[in-house]
Amino acid sequence: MVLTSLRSFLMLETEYDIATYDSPSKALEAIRESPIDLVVSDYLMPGMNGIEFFCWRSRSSTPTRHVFS
Amino acid sequence: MSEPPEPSLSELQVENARLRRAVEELSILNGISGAISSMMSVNSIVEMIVQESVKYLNVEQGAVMLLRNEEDTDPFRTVARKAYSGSDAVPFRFGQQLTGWMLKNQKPLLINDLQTDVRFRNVASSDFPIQSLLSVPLKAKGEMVGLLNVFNKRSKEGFTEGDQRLLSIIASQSAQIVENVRLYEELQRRSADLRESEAKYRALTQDAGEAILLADFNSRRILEVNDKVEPLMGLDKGVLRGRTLADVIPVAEWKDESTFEAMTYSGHLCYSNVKLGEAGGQTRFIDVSATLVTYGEHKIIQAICHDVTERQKLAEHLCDHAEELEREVEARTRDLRDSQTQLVQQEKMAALGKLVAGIAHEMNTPIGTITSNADSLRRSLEKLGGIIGSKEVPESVRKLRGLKQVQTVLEDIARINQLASERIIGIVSSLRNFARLDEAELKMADLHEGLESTLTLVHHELKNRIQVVKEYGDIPSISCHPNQINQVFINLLVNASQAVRGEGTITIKTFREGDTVNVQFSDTGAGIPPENLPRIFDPGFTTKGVGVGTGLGLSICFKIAQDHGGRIDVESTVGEGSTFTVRLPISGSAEAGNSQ
Repeated sequence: MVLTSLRSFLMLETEYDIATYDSPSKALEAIRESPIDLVVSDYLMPGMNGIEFFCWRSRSSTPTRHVFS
Repeated sequence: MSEPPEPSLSELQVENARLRRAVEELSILNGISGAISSMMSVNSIVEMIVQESVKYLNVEQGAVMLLRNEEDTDPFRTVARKAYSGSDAVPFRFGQQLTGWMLKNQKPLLINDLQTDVRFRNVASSDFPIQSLLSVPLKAKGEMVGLLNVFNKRSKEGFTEGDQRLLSIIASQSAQIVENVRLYEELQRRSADLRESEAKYRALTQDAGEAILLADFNSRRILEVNDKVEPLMGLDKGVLRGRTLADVIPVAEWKDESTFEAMTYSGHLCYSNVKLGEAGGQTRFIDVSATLVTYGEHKIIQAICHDVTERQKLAEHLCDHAEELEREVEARTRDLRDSQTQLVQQEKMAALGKLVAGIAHEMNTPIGTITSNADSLRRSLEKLGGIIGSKEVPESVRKLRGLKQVQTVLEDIARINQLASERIIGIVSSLRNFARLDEAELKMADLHEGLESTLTLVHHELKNRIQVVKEYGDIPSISCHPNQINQVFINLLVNASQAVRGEGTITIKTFREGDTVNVQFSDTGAGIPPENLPRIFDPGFTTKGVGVGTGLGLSICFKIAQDHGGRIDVESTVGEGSTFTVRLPISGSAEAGNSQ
């Protein structure tokens, strides 16, 4: 629900390419394949929390901005 | 004519001796008579008789024995005993066989050799062996009253018929005297017994610890009272004697004669806590125990009165005390129940608060989505409108009939959606505000915020019907428990809205007064009648009828205000409306209030 809402808002107001995932592991996979410029993630998530996600992501690919909510 | 022959010398000597003996006998008897007529003491007379008998009959011992009344091992009692020497002689037992014989035969007994007499065996006595004896009965008015005995003739011949005759004469003379002795001693004994009996009676009744009255059973009249009666009843003995028992002891049942008659069967009646009249100023209470006592021909009612005034007083005290205790218990129970209800109410509120907070929290996410989407929707529509209105779109498309309509509808809906979602957010936020669970700590709170939250929540009670006028003054935030204060606001607002039947106005005024912050709720409702005014803050007081609410709302508000060191005042006029003013101290006092 929130994902859709956010995506709608972003699509409407910005020109960004947006991809949404409902689990951090799926997101990590996708990031590995193609790099991204900004990540917006929740803190409490299934599988791992936001911090862990951030760490994992930092190890791979290029460093990017990360927004926690 | 021949003259009688002259007696011989030996005949003369015998005659002489006989005459001499006769003279001696006569002189003894004379002596005894003289003694009797000279009225010597009875004891002395008896002793004298024995002495003379012993001397004249020339024996070792003599005794007078009296018949006893009581059954005893020895039916005779020795009253005088003399030896030949004149002393009192050694006592010894006369022996059962001898006494038995004398009692049975009641005539003189002469034995010159006791050992060989076949009638009497085992009469040996170590103290004084009886060899010979002469015993004659003493008879008064034909009845045997005792014995005159002499033992062990000191001459070889032993006892003679002459001895027996003399002793018998003495005995007959002495019998009456001896009988008198006996009677006199009997009298003494009886008198002593009587005196003892009298003393016993006196001790048992007069000196008894309780007041005792004796009344004749048949006439019920008082015969005797003991010393304790006078102080108890306040009437002296002279007055009491002759009055009836029921007169003096006011037992209700005694007015009925048959109660006394019943005593012949039961023998005993008891009554508790009989009230005696105010004799000597003080009312006394007694327990009465009445017993029917019969002796000989007499029937007596013995009434024992036990003073229980103290007990009665104690009982009354206890009663009063018990009443007092009961009243206190009632009051305490009421207090407890109120506290309990209050607690329950508070618990309910707390639980509700938690629930509400939970719900609000859950609602956040979807509401956020809706709000965000609503905004996005609006923006998207704007853009769409822009796109349709741009040069690239042909006029014909713009002119399409449904298009404008749909556009308008979409725009309206989007706008309303936004409004609706904003309102939902407002309500949820008010709810959360209201149910703030950080109540354990005091917080600085802006009362206007609280008022606004509250107003949002009660909006549906007020809408269209009641106008809310706000006169907010310049008030500082105060240290308090915000959710409790909000509870007070809600309560007062709901009450106000219920007081207003149909249309009306509620005015909320906030202002500072010295060191308090005041929030005033005025309504144009029905008002509160003066007789109810002092009671509206009482727990459980309600005018809404049974089952509608608990009547605790205002009492809780009152308590909350108190806990904060403040108070709630009310003014009201029937038909015009009521004004509730909540006064809260600006700082510090909330702590003090709580520590109460």
